Amino acid sequence: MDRNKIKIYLTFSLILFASFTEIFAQENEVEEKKTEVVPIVSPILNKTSAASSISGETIAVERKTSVDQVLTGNVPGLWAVDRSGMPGEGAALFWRGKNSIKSETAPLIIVDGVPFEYASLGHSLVEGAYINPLNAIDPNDVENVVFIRDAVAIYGARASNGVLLIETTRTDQTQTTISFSAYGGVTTSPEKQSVMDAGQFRSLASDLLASSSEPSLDLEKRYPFLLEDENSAAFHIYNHDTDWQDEIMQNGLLQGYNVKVDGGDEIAKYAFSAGYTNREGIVKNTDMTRYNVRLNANINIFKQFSFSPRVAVSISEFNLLEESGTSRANALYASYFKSPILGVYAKNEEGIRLPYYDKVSEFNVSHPLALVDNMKAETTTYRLNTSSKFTYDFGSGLKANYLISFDISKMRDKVFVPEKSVVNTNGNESRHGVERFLSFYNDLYLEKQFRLSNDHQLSALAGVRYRENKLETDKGYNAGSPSDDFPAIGSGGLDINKRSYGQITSWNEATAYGLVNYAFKQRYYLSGSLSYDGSSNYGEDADKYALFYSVGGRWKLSSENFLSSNSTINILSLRTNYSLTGNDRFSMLYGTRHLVAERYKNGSGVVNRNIANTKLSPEKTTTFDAGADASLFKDRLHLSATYYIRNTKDVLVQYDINELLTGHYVDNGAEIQNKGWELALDAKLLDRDVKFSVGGNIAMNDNQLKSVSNTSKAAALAHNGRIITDLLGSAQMISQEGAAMNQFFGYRALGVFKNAADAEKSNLKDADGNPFRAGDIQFEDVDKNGIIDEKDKQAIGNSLPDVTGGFFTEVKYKRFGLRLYGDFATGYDVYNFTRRSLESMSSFNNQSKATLRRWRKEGDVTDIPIASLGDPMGNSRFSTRWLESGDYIRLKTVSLTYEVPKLKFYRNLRVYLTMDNVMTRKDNFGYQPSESGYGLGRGIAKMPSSRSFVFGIQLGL
Amino acid sequence: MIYRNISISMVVLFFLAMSSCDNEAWDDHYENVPTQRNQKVVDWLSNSQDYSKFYALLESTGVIEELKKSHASTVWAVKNDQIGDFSKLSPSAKERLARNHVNIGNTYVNRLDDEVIRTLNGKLLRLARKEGKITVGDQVFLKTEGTFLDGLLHQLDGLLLPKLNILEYFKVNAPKFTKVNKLLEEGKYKVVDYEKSIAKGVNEQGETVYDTVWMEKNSYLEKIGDFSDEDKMRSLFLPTDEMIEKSFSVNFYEIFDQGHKISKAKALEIKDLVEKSILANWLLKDNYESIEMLPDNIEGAEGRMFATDMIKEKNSVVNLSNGVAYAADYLKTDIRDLIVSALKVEVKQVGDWYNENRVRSSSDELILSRSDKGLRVVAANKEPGTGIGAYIEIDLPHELTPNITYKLESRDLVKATCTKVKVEIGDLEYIFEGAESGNIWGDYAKEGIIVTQSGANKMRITMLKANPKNENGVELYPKFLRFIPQF
Repeated sequence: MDRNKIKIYLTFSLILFASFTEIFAQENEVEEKKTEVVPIVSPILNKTSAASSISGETIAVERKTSVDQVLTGNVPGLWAVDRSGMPGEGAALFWRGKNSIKSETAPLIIVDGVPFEYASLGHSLVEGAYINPLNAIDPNDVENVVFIRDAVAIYGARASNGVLLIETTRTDQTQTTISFSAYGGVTTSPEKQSVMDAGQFRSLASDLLASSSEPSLDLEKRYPFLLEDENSAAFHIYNHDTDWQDEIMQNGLLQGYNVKVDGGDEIAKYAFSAGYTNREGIVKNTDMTRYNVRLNANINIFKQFSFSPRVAVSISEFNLLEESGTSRANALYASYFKSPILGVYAKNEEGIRLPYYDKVSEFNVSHPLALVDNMKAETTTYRLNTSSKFTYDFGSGLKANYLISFDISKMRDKVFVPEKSVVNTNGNESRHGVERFLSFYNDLYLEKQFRLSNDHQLSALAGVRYRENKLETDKGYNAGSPSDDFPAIGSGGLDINKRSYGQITSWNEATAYGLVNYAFKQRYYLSGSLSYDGSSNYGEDADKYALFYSVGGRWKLSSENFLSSNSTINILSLRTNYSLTGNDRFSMLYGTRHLVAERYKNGSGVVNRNIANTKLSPEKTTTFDAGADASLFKDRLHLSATYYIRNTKDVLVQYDINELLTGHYVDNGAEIQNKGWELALDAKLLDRDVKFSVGGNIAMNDNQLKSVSNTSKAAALAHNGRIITDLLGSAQMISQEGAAMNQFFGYRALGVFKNAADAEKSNLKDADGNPFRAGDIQFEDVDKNGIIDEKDKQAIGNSLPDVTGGFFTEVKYKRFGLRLYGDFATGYDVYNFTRRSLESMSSFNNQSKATLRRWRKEGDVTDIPIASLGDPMGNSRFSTRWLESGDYIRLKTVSLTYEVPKLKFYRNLRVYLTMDNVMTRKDNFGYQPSESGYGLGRGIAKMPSSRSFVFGIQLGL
Repeated sequence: MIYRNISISMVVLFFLAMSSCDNEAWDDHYENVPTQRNQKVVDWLSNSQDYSKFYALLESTGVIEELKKSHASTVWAVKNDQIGDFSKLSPSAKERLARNHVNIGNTYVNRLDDEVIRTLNGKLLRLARKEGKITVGDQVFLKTEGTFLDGLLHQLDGLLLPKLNILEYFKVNAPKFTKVNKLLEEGKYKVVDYEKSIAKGVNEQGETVYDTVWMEKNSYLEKIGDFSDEDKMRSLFLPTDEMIEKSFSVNFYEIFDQGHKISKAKALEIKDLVEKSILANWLLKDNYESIEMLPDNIEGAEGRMFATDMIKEKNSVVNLSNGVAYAADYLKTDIRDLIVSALKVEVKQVGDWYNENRVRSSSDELILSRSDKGLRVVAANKEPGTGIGAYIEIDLPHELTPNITYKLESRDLVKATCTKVKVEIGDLEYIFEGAESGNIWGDYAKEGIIVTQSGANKMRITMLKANPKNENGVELYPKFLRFIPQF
């Protein structure tokens, strides 16, 4: 879908909504404003900040496994991209474009005032899989989520990508209440990849044989699948029409239960919750199970002194799908590629089915069911968060707070790839790993409210915080145990196959910070924050401390005399902010010399891993934003607009040493700019018996790599103004000075030569001097030298969307409620690696049905080239053939709720029906384009998301 | 009420707008396939007006049913206006004709240089690119009519008439090839096909008993080469009876015009040998695709050389499916060499007999063992080893021909002068003595001339002088003796 259509959709909608607002403005009551909720545990949100919040009620109904998945479409400028449909992988978060290359770009996450370690954890030994650390927080326990977009400088070198504040269950009840929620549902298996059936595959296989150097004589003797000879022993092997995707896919069941008890009295309040969640994936034998317990309490030891302990324990078990880019151990990939002419079970010469799966066969694709049934990819995570906050109220608005917290996380992986019916070179394979993380955090701050006069209000906050982190990973690998009945990692195998490796890293942060808010006449607001932040992540010889700040202002025009009596404009304010924040969330190994284990003959040795940059410093982002917020028509319509410019300097860039030696050097060598607009709208169109509200947000971002310098280290290779990143399947991305980052870098495909005359006329040859012929792809010869080679690569697509956003609509009538929300993105391309693998026609992997229209004879006009074993002419090289428009608009969730009339024995009862991934209007040929990865641009064979239906109840006693 | 209805309408409209084109791009990409690509070639052909006669030919000969069982085949079709009349062909000829137009596998011509494929009747079909055209056998490729789910259909400008292979040609023209056909017939034998035979059990001796399936083999084809094999292109002269007869008379009498004498019986025997030699050499070692490529002399399968002038003079070629056959009135060959080959007698490994084949038993009885070379030792005296007077008697492989002068040659006798052997054959006697300067491995030939009167088929070799041993302690004896007829 092109950008114009999106604009038409939204314009139409806005006009319609605005006109309705016009009609009904007079008739409805004023509602409480929603934009100024201040979470209890965050002192940093101030009147000059731009922030977006999502209530716990919304989160609960959405039934996600982690909070980040709820952010999709709800926060302007924040693009939450589901990593896959596998339960537990969560979403990757990108905010206001891409402003780093080697550092973490996700927002800082603060849970109940404590930074929540997120980016450095969750890297499973299961290839391609990522275990989202946010799984440790049950969304049922989330009271509120606020995303703060600016004025977060007090978090110093961790705040350049915004701050996500998560507040868990509040302890504000004085009456004991018990709440119980339960849900059950199903995730339907997605639309299958459109791959060939048996007859179509044989035709393709025959074409591949015809293209090869294989002699044409007696092909049917060497490849008996070409004939249907019932007397042949091969008949029983090759005479099937198996739908491999059907064999491994399922409708996944999901269920969850949560019990919450809260209550207390004036002295002590508590909130206790326990929950169980289980979600099956749409591939058999994949699932996620989570057990969690949380206790939040608030105890007034005496009048001025309170103590708020919090403990949360979470254990999650995953049976995962290996999501690598090959069919060896990725069951999903194997189900796409496995030939349909092969059967599930082995058969003897008489055609009698044997009690085990068929072997790999000459087509060299693993048996998908053997992987699903016999492969183990188990991960278990344990997380313990405990914090205690002590508050002493000195009176006169002065409070002292001390927060101390421990965060302990452990992740254990066990992977076993069997030998039987699986492609392998070393026999079966075992991988074990343990990841341990420990963090100690404390934060001491004073906050003071000054009552200067009725017109002047001042608040200030100052404190120090310190955090110590340690991460240890230990991994082992072995292969070739005597049989698949011996999966333990120590079970035999040659010494040469054994490997053990890992790392221990520790990093610390220390910050002194202060924040001041000033308000005059409830009309003029000023705020400023400062932090002197230290981090151990920088180079050994670099300055460990840096100063970060922000300053902002807000003018509430609606309080001015000329607007105070305006009946249409209820609130109108202008705001602006300027900040300098940093990003130290990169590997501390860049700035430190370190060694790594390396196998040497039959023993172990250590080698230098890198050339350390001992002067490495944090990335620094200056952000200027200006915006306006308005509440109109008796608060029936809320609008918000922000313009921003973010310049990030000292961006970390990797420099290779030279063409011969491996190893690299990381330096602060680039500057990136992101600028754009964020708009949000929230309108109550009806507010009578029927309540109808709509809303949405849209963000437009323009990204540019301003400069890439050559390294300060003379020995390393210069980038000369561009950075190239490798992707799966020898695809590449390029970031060039003066252009958007992460553009796809490859060849431009102009079409298929339909006949020999056209091919000869073009006179194009490949890098080895072989001429392109009829049926081959015509690539653009950029340098016009008649040879298609590396010099003809160019930027061919944009992996970063220009526009992202979300929308919602809510209808309430008496006890019924209907909520729809969705998201969209436009102006970017996705690289469909799966389709590339399914349309390259270079091996005997099954291919997509699109290859049925491949070029086969003179004059064929088609977009699919000739089938050619081994693809000698590189028709499937990375090119515009594999890029698709990522534009989409998706109705993500529809939720129907009903408040059951009150009865004696319960306080409230709500039932709901929720449908997820309802429908998507998209232009790409793969699964959800939103899963391709913002700035990653790849659509590899990860488990796709699909529609789910959930029925649930929420009961309060 | 109206507000509620409008609200509901808006929600419904929104749903409709979203759902209208949910999978349009996906469907357009994956389902947009030309109809023909999901169609079978047989179905298309059956509905084609232009190829109705061709379809009828395939259907009447059962080829259509075979095509239905194939998942990938190429059909070389001819349109009605170019197909000609094949109605007068016998059913078997029609079937061979029909099957000659289909091969298994997808055969594309767009990137062809040279290719050989096998049609359904087992014949090889050559595809070649020449002067901008693509030839398929003897016809020209016009275009690819269609690319289907299970194969391709190409249009040719005429029918591919199947050629006979060499064996079929001999059978079809049997009256001209009685000699070679007789050899073929005589060479037939049967062996058990153990792969197809099913074991039923064991007999009382413990031997496995089979439900036997026999396999027919042919020793003549094994010796000369399987000339029914379609996979191998051969060159040959046509071994007609007439050609062979005349080759004997021309070559033999030519020789004997030069005054050599030979008995009539021997002459007839030699005629057999001459014919056998030609019948073992009519298939050539090398391939020559045309007369122009023939050198002056060519070599037959068993190494006999023939002059090619008679072939070039006749200039007549028969193109077969697995060979190019050259006709000639007769063949010229070196008859002298032929006769020498036929008459010579070789006795190999003579010396080994003294050691290996004379074994003392426990009772002092001398036991003689057989050589695996097929020679038979008929007698030996009781002195083994190197004793003077030790002798052996052996049967010759075949009798020396009477009235032929033979030269007796010996090799590898010994270096030293202390070696002396006596060779007695018939009533003739020859002494061989080691020469001082002789190389131990070189020829040591005494011109022993035998003129056999009554023929001889037995030879006695007696040691007259002690044999020295070589540096390895091995006693040295004459290794090799042969009788070469002299003309």
